[in-house]
Amino acid sequence: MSETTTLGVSHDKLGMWVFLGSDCLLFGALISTYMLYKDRIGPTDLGPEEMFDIPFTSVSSFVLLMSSLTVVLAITALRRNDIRRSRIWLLSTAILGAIFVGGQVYEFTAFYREGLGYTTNLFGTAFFTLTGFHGVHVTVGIIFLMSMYIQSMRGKLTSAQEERLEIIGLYWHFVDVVWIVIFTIVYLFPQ
Amino acid sequence: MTTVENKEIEESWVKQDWVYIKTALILGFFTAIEVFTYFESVHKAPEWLMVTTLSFLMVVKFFLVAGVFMHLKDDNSIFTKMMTLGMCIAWPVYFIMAFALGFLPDWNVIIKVLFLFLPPGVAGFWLGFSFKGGDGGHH
Amino acid sequence: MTIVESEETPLELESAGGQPPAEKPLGAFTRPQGGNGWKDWLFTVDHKKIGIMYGAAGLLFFVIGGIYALFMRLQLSRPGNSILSAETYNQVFTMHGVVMVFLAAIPLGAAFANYLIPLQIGARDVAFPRLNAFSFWVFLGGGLFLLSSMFIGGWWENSPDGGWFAYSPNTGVLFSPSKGIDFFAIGLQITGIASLVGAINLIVTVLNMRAPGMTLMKMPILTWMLFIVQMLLLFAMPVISVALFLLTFDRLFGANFFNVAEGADPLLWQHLFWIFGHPEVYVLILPSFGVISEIIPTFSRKPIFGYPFMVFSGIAIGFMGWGVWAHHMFASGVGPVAVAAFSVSTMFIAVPTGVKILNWLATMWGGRIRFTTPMLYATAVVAMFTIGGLSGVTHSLAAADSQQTDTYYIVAHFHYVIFGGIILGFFGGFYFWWPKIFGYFLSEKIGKSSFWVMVIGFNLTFGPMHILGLQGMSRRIQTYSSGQGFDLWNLVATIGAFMIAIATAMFIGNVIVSRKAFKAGKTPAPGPDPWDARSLEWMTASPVPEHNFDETIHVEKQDEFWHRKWGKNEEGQVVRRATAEEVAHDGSNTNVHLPSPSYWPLVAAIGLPIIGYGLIYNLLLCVLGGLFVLGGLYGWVFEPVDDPNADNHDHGDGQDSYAELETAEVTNASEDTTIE
Repeated sequence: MSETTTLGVSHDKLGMWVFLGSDCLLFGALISTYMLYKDRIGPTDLGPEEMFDIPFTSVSSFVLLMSSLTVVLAITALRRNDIRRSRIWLLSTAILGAIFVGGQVYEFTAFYREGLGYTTNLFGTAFFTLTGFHGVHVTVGIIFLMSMYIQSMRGKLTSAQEERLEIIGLYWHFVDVVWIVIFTIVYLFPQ
Repeated sequence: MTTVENKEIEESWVKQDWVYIKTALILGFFTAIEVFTYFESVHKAPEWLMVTTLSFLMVVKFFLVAGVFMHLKDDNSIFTKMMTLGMCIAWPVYFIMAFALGFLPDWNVIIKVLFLFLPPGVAGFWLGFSFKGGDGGHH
Repeated sequence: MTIVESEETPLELESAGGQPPAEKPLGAFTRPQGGNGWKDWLFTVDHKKIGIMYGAAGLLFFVIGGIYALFMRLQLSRPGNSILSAETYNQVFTMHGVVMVFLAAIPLGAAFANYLIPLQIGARDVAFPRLNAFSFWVFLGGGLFLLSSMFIGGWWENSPDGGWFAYSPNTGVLFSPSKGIDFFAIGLQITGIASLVGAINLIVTVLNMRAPGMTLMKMPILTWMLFIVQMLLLFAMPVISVALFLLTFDRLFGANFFNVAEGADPLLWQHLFWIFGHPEVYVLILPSFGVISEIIPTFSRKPIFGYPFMVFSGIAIGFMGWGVWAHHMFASGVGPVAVAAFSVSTMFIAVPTGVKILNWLATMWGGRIRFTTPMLYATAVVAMFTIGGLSGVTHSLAAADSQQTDTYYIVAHFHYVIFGGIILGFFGGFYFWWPKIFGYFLSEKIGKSSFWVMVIGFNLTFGPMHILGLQGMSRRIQTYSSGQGFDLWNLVATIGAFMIAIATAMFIGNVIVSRKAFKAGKTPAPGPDPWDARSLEWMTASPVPEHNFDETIHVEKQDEFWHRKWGKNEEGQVVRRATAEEVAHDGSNTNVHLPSPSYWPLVAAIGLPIIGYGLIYNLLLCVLGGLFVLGGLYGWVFEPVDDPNADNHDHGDGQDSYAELETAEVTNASEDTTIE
């Protein structure tokens, strides 16, 4: 079917890639804003160095990284029409994503308790906005994955619809890639 | 379809899954190295060394996920091109903004220009070189 | 790529009508059937109807933006006038800029893109017909949301007043306490979504739905320019989205992005805005370049001069447009290195634009030119844009620019490129494609006279502004005192502005009069190819039938349609091979499968302005709006497939192109069909 389009790829997949290309610019702008503002804190405020809990964030980064693995396993399982396995991998991807978002919520509340609110200073504003945007992307991905899971339970997700899952997988990997960048630049770079 | 063929297909799938699992293991290993830099003794290393190492690991992880998990490695090149185009624009634009707003170190002008234009230049050269005005066809 | 060489095979695909889907899908509703009247327009997914709606909405907003301009000119006609107060004047020039750029010029470009891209590449529709409808309704909702700021909470109480550029910290709550900037930020956010979605859609269409044989370098220049525009929108829209998000968060949730008291850098806004804003300038101008690149060859009866140079100069403009944004900020203190670098890059970008102007002139050179109304407009664009382009080069010299900043010289410059370059080009495009789109000619007599009124009025309005600016008259100030030498030229400019208004009214009158004359049988039907034109959209009946073409067109040459009509004889002279009527499809094939209309794009789009009102007034409304969006999207995804034979995967989006029809041909292929 997709062999008959001009480039030999389906519209949907090309559309997703075009969108991802554009999303690079979105996160680029947000990361630049964060880099500009991360050191602009009041004299008594806590800065990124004191705030970040690297071991904790490392674990949640690892969780998100592994969810990229589970989603490709779901896709290959679906491709060979192994519905049961694809369902398991799909669900575990969504759960791993949810753990990541949960970790982020925990991190946000911990920061808030330590005195860093959204409006406290420029570091807080920029940090919460950047990671919040990423969190929203992950949440949207979880909604996609759960919709696919429900479709699968209704028996509507077979190897014929493999490409749909692949496209959602692309989105999911992209969100993961963005986190790889954020984790390094925001958390690991020397403050 | 005979059972032999079936078995062969089955095996190729297992192989494919193994590629993914191995990639994930490598990614996990790199993440572990990254986190290792956080420990006190390493953390005292000079800043430029830390930033270079971490950036290198980040780029490797980026390419692994994009190449293997998003199968850019062996998919139609138009997808890689779309992504490259986005990065080619984002890279110089945001770094020029960063230099103009003064939150990047005050490097030598030559280093600045190389840093700004070399990566997108190389990628852009590839984009231009592979433009045939044709309809792409299969990779 | 499979190429089927059985050229004239009629398309064999069963029509969609009849059989309901075998199984009741999750979506409770069926898809609307292609009806008639208003419902047909409301739920349509046809790229031609959506294009027409974009055009109508764009023209409406153009008139509204023009009315703002007339009020400004009335206020400035005499020194010390008091028609508008300082506050209202701020609001009026803000709304004039916002409406003209975001609600008139972008959608008019989108109108040409939606209507013409699929036709010029020989496709059935765009890649995602429902997304196309969605982006139109989102755009319209965002536009009306923005305009509603005039009425909500009192007359002119909550109108945006920060200029279309909305520089921070002037747009913070401290300096702009009304809700105007909230409406501005959220309204533009919504129209931005529309542009982004539309861009994705059209990029996939151009890349993936070209007729067999139509390589990228055989596409008409208009399609090329519109494709570059979509690329620019694709990458520029996220940047303005981020800027607007930051502004919205500042104003609604007390974030600090532009809070100078906390140490924020207001230049961040300027950078983000102009990183978007400069590519945006090319988003506006390139469609018009494309339009006149179709008109000039047609009426010069010559192929476009230097086709590859036209294409690559367009690509060059698209790329270089990303590297000149700080020339809007020479006076903001960006530092000497940045000023010097951006000064040079701005001078460079004049080169590809100059290449284009040269190519248009060379196309006309030695041609047998017919000065019809579209051609008049096209030549006017070349002349007026050159003036605007040259005054633009004077801005690239930073030293001169610091004198010109914030004077009427700048206003004169960008109106020469925006009005002289874009709006004149679009009017030319209207006269050119009107017979194709609506099936009747616009009166040449009224067209030519309105052209002269418009061009003279335009030069009277903006020509004197060069002088005013160099004399030192500041822009964005609601009045001036007499005795500074500003009085005469301001009066002239006001008279000119009203001439533009008259010319616009003449155009609208022309539409009504010409339609009546055609209905009464006084003017002939245009036929498929009234101008002896070159590209594929003229190869089907006028007005274009709903299914575009009767059969797949196999393209061999650039200007394929022209080459089917004309060829060289043995002596090398160009002679007619066939008439347009012989070559063109008559639209009689009723068996082409069409995507069904859909309710859901409209439902999902309505949710966005509701969320917008919710953010400003009551967060509960956001929940309602969110339900609309979510419900709309779920209804969309689970909507029944309109064609029981279609692949379940696709829901009638995309694969209803001729590409699928190719599959049908391949399966029915007879023995002599070779597949490569």
